[in-house]
Amino acid sequence: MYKPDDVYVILPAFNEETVIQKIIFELQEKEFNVLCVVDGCTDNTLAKVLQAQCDYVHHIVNLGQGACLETGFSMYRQGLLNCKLLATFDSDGQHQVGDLLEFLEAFNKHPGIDMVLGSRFLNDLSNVPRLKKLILKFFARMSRYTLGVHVTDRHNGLRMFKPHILEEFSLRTPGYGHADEFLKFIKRSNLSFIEVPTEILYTDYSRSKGQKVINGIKTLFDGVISAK
Amino acid sequence: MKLAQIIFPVILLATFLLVRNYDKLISKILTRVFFATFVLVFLVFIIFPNLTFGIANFIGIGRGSDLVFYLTTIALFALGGIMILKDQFQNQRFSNLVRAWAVRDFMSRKNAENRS
Repeated sequence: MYKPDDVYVILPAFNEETVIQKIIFELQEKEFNVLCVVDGCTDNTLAKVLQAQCDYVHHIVNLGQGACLETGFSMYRQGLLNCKLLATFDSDGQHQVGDLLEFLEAFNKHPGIDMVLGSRFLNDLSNVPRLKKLILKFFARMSRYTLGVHVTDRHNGLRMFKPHILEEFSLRTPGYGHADEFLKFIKRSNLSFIEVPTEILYTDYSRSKGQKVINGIKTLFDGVISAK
Repeated sequence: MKLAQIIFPVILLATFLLVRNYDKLISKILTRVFFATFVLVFLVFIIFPNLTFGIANFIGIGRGSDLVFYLTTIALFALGGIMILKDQFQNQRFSNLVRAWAVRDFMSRKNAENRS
């Protein structure tokens, strides 16, 4: 049986001084281990993380979300994170700590799986803006043909996995394109996964911080042109 | 179907594959051969301007200037793609550097905590 303290949650943070403490406290309250990757912040995020007394690592310049996750992964590979499961979690307040408990439940029900992916389209709890919904659903459908993996939400940053996969997997994309790298790896290594419904909270703050459509186009372009 | 309608898509596809596999040594070598060939071809075109007309006519483009335009566009695509990839590689190296520094900082903090 997996418990919350078997999990290290990797929390990339870039200028999140207003919400970061609340998220860390919520995760700590549920007894998750937290590694906050402070990503070249120019506000008081680092001070807030220090006050929250969780593990943190500090990028002196901003690298991007994918690079932050890879920092967490490389720390696991170096034996600096002692855990049975790893999770990735957004620090802009969009993700719900309760969903991580559902992920744990999924691992306990299906101990053979390697990864649990979040999907905002398996329930109706997320108030996804119409244009975003259209685009995300289109690209999720395309993933079957372009990546060889069928998922209902291709760009959900909430995921939990067994860390053994990191022996053969590292993220190369520094920005938001990391979600596709996970899916490509799932296909390449024939990993077993399930999708679990999640709620994505769209507040004014998270919308201002979240991925813009234009970034999606850049990510798509980079994915096409990128060397294999 | 004109010969140009086969040749140019094939060259374009080959260019895309070269760029996309730029991290492989064979691609790096082929890309240099590709650019050297382009330079040579353009030199020949400058020295023998009527040649462009002859080739363009043969492959069905019509005008020599169109042939030069198509070839230049393909060279620009390749150059743009390689620049983007080089930028990605440099970013990767930079990320590795920042990460190494950050992890070292984490470890020294942990060591200090353990000592105290």
